[in-house]
Amino acid sequence: MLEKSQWPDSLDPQEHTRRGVYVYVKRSFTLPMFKTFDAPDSSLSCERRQSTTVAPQSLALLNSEFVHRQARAFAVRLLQETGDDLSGGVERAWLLALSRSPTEEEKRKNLEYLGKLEQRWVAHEGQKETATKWLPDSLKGVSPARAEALAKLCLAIFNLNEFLYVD
Amino acid sequence: MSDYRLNDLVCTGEGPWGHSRRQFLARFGGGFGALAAVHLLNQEGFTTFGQPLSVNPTAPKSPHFPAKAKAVIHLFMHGGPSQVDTFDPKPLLSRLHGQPAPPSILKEQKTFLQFTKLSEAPLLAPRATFRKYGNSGLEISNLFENVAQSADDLAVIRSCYHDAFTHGPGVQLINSGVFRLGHPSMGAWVVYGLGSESENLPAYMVMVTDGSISAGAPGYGAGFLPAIYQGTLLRKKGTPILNARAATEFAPGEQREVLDLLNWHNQKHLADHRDNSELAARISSHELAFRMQTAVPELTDVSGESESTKKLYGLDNEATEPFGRNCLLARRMVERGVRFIQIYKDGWDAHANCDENHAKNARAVDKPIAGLLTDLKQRGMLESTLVIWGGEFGRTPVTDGQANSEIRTNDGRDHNPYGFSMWMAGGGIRGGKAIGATDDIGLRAVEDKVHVHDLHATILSLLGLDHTQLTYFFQGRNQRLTDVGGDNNLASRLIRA
Repeated sequence: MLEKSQWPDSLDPQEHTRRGVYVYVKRSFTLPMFKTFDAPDSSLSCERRQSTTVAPQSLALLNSEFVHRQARAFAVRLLQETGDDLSGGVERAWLLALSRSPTEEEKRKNLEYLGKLEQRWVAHEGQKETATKWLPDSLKGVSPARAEALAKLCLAIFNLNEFLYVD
Repeated sequence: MSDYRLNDLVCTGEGPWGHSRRQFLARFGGGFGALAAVHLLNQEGFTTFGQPLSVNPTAPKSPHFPAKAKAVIHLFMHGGPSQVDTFDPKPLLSRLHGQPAPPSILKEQKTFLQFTKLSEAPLLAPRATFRKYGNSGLEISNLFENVAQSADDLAVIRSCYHDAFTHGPGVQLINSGVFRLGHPSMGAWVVYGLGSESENLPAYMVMVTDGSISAGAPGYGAGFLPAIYQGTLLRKKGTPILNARAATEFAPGEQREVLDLLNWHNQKHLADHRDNSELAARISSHELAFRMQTAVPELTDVSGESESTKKLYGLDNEATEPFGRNCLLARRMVERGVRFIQIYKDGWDAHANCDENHAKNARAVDKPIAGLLTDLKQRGMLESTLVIWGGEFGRTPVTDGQANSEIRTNDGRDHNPYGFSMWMAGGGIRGGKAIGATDDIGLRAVEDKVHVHDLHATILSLLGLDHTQLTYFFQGRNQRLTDVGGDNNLASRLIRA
């Protein structure tokens, strides 16, 4: 795997959200995220794609900058669309990510954990400095502990097998 | 009622109507069809197709025959150290210093070098001096006077050769047996063949001391093998392994809770999709990832090592600390079940002022390597750990550059893949011996020639793998690390006293 310094960000921010299929490929320099998910070696023809399910992929999905950034962006969207209504937020998150509503049991579980995570952030001293940095101005009234908790729920959603695998 | 629950009702009854499309195809299509295919492919020897990768591609596997070595530490001297200054004494060079190479050597086959026309460059005597060490009397230069204390454990192969005379292809060739990109590196083959002994760490790890690797990441890549077999670079800055720490902060205890919630959902999902082994594999890989987060910092934290151990590896000295730390980490990796470790040390590319260059580089690695050998031996680990030393090629006995060329130097050496030295120790090897020989000036391997394929065959043998049986079906044939070579397998000679 490569150092971050080997992959400087493109200067044009519009380039940042392009789909990977349009990305310029250097033959000896596979994109780290692609390589993690079994991109074939680009210097030989590939007759058969491989598919592995291994820990470095989980590390990328649980910890990488990209996934965490998207989780926060998802949390911001939910807060903007559903405001204080946590139950509505969970409902909306499930619809957006999985194209279905959560079952009552699932909703209950999510709300229970959201409460737990929020409590952890309330107890955590670092909380005041974190969420306030990434929430947009329009959401400055939201409790940082709640925003952090919601972002972590979104992170969990991106790791759901139902989200990752096509049924 | 949501679509999901409607779906649930329709798809959970008994009988053929009770199956979802996925379940139906898996049981009645993929089920029998796949079984038959696996059977056929196994018969054809295409076992990699029959093995579901998603189950656990790095589960420990039995070797083909009892192994001498369980782990490998490859000390990669990047840039290409000169054999005539280190492990291949050539007294004639000192006598003929400044003169052209002897006609008997020039008239042989044409020799392509990067910058140098062999017939127009004068011979260059090394400043380093050789003497005999240990009971065996193995000759080693004063550049490696510390390593030389373990002379009786070293098997020096003085007749290595190949034909890639620039760095990138040379590194690729030493690693994968092919100078082009795309073929799996030796470490990837070994993990493919033997699996991993470590639950929480990658089986193939790579460290880089100074500079970078000419071949880049493909040098330790998996090529056409599944990506899981590629080497993992231990990074010098930030978290040692990419993504081993979360990009944004978790409150204390929060990450575990997020994972618990995730598992709760995934287990429910799994209950409805029992036929898909990938889903269960993904759940367990999340748990492994969680454990890796603590295993990696634990590995790289050497504060628990004794002062005498740190000193043994040269951690108390600025010149030896960077490579010494990597050697110490390598020992810690072997202790934790890592199978294949490469430590690169860049800087040996001495086109000018070879004496100074090699003195500096040898100073940086000699004590740490000696420390590694001593430490492994003291801990009873050397018998089962194969240590390999060498570059991507050696260097010329003549000075670098052509006559009248601007890049000509009178004290440097050019790349030389036609004859160079590597050594091995541990892993069952009975040392104190030199195998093969170069010609009188140390240019070409002439006796008992050992190609890279032969080196690879030897290393695999010591690990209990038959290089002709370790295959992967790709592009129409069973590919091997050793391609169609590897006939000069040294293993049986190396393990004899």
